[in-house]
Amino acid sequence: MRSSLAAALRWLVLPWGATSGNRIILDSDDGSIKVYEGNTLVAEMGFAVGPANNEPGFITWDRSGTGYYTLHSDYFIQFGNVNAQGGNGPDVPAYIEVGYGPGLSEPSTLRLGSGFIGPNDFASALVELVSGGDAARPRPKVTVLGSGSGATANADLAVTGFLTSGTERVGRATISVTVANTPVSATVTYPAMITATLEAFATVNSANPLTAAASVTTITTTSATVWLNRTTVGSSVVHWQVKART
Amino acid sequence: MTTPPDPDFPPLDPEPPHIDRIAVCHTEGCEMNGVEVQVRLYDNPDGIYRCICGGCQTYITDLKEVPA
Repeated sequence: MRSSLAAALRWLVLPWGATSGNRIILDSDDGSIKVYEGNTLVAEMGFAVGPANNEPGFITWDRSGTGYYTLHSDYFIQFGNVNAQGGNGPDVPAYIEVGYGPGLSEPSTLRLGSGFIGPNDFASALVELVSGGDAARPRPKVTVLGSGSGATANADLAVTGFLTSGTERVGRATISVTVANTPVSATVTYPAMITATLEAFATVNSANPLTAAASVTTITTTSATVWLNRTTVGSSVVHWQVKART
Repeated sequence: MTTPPDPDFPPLDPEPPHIDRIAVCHTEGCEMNGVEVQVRLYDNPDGIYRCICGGCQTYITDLKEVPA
């Protein structure tokens, strides 16, 4: 009876004594809690899990044995040293925040925060993803901002690749003028823009604006007409741009 | 595809002579390939109606009449 009690203090298996089937094992030897589905280990929390099996953490496996390092939270998950202290008081590790957290007004919100650690850091870079689809917010929205006040309420966004949007179209049109001083039109098409509130621009690739000029009319969400005038017969490249007005 | 003109850019007054057509780009790989766009094409001195695809910057020759 005493040995059985000692064993129970080192291991606790629920249902009591189960050696197969669905069960939960609290193992004080390796400091873990293991969850079995049938005879398959599907979740473990303990001192030595994690990617290298030597870090405290929580891991789950699917039924084929593939491991996933997952954690579900209805509000806040922090990463890194949560006790970090820099030269400017309490620092903030990187984090993921969801739902109705402080400053979040929509349940379908995901906020990624860089955190700020160190004497020269005062604010996090934040990326906020908010759902949309109703009249008040017809489209889902992604916002990049800073967590501080003043200048640190803003964040820079650098894109090393193309940045495309449904609110801007740019192109060029090579147009031949066949009668001097008589404008020639060419209508350009483009993928549909998301709004009809537009501004349009056109300019000629020319070193002498007195001999060639361009303009634009008839702007729609899918086309615009550019005009070219030259004082001589010949062709010119007209650069054009259509942008949504905010 | 019929798209309303931007209310801030009303039709020219007086509107120069023009025709309305359905323009379709057929450039392989162009994002506008096969997309029908209703366009307004204004008369030019040489009698040629010019329409250019903004996706591939090439002239569009497939200009269908707009269904009545």
